[in-house]
Amino acid sequence: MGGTLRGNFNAEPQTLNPLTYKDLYARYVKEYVVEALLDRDPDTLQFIPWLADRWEVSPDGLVITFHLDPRAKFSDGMPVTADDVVFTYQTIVNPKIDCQSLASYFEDCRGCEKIDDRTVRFTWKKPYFLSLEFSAIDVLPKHVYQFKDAKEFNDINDILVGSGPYKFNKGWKTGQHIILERNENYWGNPPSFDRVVYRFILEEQASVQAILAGELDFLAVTPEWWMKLKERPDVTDRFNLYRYSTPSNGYSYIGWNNTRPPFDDARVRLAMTHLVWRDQILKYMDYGVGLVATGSFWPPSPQCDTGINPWPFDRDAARKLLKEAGWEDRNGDGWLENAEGKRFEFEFCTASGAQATRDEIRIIGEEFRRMGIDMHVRLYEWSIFTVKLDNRDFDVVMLAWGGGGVEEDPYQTFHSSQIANRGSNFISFRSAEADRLIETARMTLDAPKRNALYHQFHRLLHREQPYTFMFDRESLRLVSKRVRGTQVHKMGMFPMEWWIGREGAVPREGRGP
Amino acid sequence: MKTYIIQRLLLMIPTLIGITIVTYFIVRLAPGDPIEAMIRNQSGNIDPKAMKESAQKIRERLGLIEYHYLRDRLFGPEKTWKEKPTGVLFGVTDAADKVASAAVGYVQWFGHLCVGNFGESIKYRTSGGSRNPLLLIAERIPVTATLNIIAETLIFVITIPLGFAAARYQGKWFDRASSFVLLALWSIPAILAATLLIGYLGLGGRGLEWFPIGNLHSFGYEKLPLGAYLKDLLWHAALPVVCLVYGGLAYLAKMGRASLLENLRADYVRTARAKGLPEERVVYHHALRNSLLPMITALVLSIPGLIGGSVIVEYIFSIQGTGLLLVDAAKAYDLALMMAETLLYGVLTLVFLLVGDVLYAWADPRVRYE
Amino acid sequence: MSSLLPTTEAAPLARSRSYGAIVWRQLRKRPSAMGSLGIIVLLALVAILAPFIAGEVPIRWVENGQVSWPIFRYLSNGEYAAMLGFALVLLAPITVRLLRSGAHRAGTGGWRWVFLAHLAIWVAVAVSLVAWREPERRYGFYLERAAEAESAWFPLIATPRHPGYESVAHRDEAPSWRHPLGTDRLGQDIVLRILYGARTAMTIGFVAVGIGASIGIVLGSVSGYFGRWVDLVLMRVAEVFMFIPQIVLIIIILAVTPSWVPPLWAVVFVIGVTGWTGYYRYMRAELLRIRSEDYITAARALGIPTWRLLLRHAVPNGMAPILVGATFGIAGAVFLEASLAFLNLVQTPSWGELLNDGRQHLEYWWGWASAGGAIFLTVFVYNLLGEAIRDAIDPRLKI
Repeated sequence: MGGTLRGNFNAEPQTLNPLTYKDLYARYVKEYVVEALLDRDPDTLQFIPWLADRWEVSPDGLVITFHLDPRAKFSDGMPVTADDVVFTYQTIVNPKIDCQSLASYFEDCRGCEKIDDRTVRFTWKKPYFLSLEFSAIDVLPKHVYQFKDAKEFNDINDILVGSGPYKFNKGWKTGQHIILERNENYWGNPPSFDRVVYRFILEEQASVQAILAGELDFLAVTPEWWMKLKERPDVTDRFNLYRYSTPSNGYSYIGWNNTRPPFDDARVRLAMTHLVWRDQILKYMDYGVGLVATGSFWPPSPQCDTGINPWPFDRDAARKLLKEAGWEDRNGDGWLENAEGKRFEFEFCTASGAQATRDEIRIIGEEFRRMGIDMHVRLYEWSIFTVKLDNRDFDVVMLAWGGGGVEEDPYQTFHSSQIANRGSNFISFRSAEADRLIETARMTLDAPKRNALYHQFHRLLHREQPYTFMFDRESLRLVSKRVRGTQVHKMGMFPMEWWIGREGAVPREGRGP
Repeated sequence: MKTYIIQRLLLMIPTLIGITIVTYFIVRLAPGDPIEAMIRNQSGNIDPKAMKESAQKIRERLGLIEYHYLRDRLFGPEKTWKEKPTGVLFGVTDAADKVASAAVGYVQWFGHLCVGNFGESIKYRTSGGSRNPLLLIAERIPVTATLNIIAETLIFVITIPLGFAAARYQGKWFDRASSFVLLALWSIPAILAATLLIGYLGLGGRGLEWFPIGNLHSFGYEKLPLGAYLKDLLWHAALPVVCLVYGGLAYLAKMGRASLLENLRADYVRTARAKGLPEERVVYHHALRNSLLPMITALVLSIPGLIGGSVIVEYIFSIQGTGLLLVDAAKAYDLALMMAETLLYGVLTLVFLLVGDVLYAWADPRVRYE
Repeated sequence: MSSLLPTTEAAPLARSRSYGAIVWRQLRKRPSAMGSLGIIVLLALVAILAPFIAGEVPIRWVENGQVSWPIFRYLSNGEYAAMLGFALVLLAPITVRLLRSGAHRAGTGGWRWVFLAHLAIWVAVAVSLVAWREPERRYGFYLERAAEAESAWFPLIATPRHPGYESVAHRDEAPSWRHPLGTDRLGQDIVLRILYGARTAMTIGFVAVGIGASIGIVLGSVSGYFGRWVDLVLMRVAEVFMFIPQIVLIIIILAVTPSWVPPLWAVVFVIGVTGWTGYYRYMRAELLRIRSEDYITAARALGIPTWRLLLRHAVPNGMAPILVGATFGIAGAVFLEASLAFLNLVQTPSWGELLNDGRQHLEYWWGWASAGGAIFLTVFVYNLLGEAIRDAIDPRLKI
């Protein structure tokens, strides 16, 4: 037991405020310090107790009651009480607090009330299969975070206090690192490290050199480095390499504006999917790391219909579909035209400056051009890009969704009510059948029935191709062999269950320090 | 001389104001929103709506509000538009509004500056949690200064003997060879040199692995005793300093050579030789001393160039200096920070140029400044 | 009685040489200068003829008995114009020389008419060649269908011009017969990238320096000639640009440049607009010197308007240090562009980008070594030339 775990972030978080944070590095740090009411078993994916040791859901799904573990206390020794849960909830839904995306989950929640010191109750307006998941919120200590003015709370950026196994005690040195310390008062299993340090080495090559030089214990790498490091015996001697997927990895996609011709025709969208050779891209540009996606669900999730195979790369099928939709080269100039003589051309918008994305788009665009489709790529600043998305002012975009949970509700992304008012259905996908499936499924509390509906929905997405789904990403990690207990679960890897082995000890199987 | 210095300092003021105006307007008139552009460098998925709302709050706090006075008068407030107006008139109106907002913002900034308030950085915080650009820069100055001082010293130590040797052996193979080699060195792009150095001499690279990459200190350097600390510092600084130095050699060595040659051709040297003084005494005692000062002047005048060059080197080697801060600030449209930094660079350049000119005048009494 | 009358026999006049001719003679003496010039011409040639050296469109294609010359149809208008322009530039000195000997015989009066006629012929040739162009095509599938042709003359290195799915399967390949310098991370042939990168380098070099020098010349001559208030103000303006390190200003401008601006023009514009102060100072210094020269006073006395005086008399005589500065400036611009590509502020299809690509993975040395070598060679050659010109115009080295 003991020792320091040293990791790396590729970018520095903006703030460590446990509610207003916007980037995933802040979330990683938060997960060491703050705990939630429930957790998920990393292998069975079922809910397991955390700060709440028991809970009840009423048969109609509208009332959820949590009973807090009497042992639970914060790092300063104060017990975790219902007041803290209620305080956290009220802060989240407070419109002046800067966490609108989190608050939107509770639009249909009537409220959270304290029943007694150790019991809280969430009441919902409608039955919703994610109510339990949403209700199992992080719990912040009221006595640390209480505020008179919302601005006070929003301005907090380096106070992070919770009930977790590690605590944050002014360990953030801007531009250098974030240090977390062991919580001696932790109410659960003793934490394995004395300290956890995350450094900010922004450039990938420098971070790889750092871990090879022994300055880091674990590191996330890109596929290209992965391939090279795998081959080096001096690396595989000292490090373990892991590849896995977690629900928050998300998926990338090409979003066709379903209201703009020619993409209002599902045949054209399918033809375009046939022209994106995802296997080739995955194999040669991502070195096979990842999976070709067929829908919006995380593949290991029960919502995902694993029987659906991605559409193959097929130039002839694409040509046939395009011809059916009225697009062919009518005048021998190499470009496709429709019956009115209008050329098939469109603008492909992206906001990502990342090299990998740009390369992908280039290769895909080249194939489109060979088919006779003229594609112009435009890179926009993020702020302008979001405006275009909001106004539905684009032909085609390349984006990714991430940060999802084990189970997802496709309502926000694919339901027709989300087209107006700057909702997230910015491709304007409209299908009565999809709407029906989504609406019914989200209210179905019986899991097998619900998942069957989602399988149907998945098949519909596959037919309609509102997006061309690209890839479900995988995570790649290099972990030093001096770190033990590293295991890949269905839900990914969890540094908090690792520990440092005795220095110089030969790696062997089994548990224990 | 004193009047000259005072005059130059006075003339400095409009120039510095000019620098701030140019920088401010370039950044303010750019499309895209500085606050929301901050997301560009973040990973993960952020709800655009949420970002927008918090952005508005930050905008008000930092004085980056856009006024739409003209546009509202001519086209009505934005809320009443069914769709965005187009046309030349709208474009011109919008642009005029933007310029006016920038002007107002500049005056505000200038006003704050006069009281010593440099505003707030959007992206960065010092270790103490402050967002004051001055403190942010101050935190980083030691790093950049260390690098530049070591580099400048090395350049000094190398180019003076080199240039003088080239002049001494003028026309012979040493002169021609050194000139050629130095010019070749000057032509190597910094990126190529740095890449090679990092790749083949750096830790975790493919070659000798002698030097570390990134930062000027190892992790946990605060605890080192002074001797070890200095050694650690020099060890980390070795590669970046090489990158800074090799390019600066050519020009200054040539200057040294030209300076010494000029003196060697001068009348007083001819006289000394005619008087029968031994060659060494002529060269080292007389000519050298007179050529030294112009060399030093040239060195001082080259320092601003070095500061600029260190931006690239800091970026390549991931050294947290002022140059890297500037690049990151520019990418994040962090206005307050950029203004503070360019002002700093302007002042530094001016100081060194002034010192160089004064040295020049002091060294050579023939030079008069009206 | 001594014959002290002046003889009517005139002494043979020495052939007067123009300043340019003197400088040229000096340059010709130095092998490094001539070598540099030669390499520069070669670079320009290679840049213009790139599609003939590496590409996917054959020069000659025979199918079903029909002969065609596809490559000309696939040149863009810009490329076509550049080829014509280059041919003109190469041939013009020869024809001018021929004409000159002819004009001597015709007498000085006819010289101007002959010159104009010569120009007219060239313009006619160029216009007709341009008008005769077929509309350019964007896409051809010659590489895949090579087997169907009876005879096909592909460029030296037959490889796709843009990377696609097939080329990606050949990414990061070491040099081979098919790809003499290997392939890059998208499977594109490196030789092709170097050739087309030469275009970017030449464009950046000449246009950026052109912009910078133009601004510097105009402002510097005005500043130097008129002096006093004008000089005071302009000098402050120049100082603003001098006191911010050029790279800093470039970074700031590029970071905020909207993305709809084509990156190449953004880079060129930015380097030009931030690099004018050197030319300004040279021109100003020269004008300060020249304005008190006799021929200027004479011209003023003759009543020549100021603008003409500056344009025809003053400025041309102050161009010498500008020429030196411009040569170094071209080297500097190419150098700068590489740095900018590295900072990820712009994406131009250039050597700098190729160098940056290879940086993370040094073992694929063919990419970055070629790009680094190309940049180094170009910069070095321009620097050598600049040094040579500087020595050539040094007044102490007069013949």
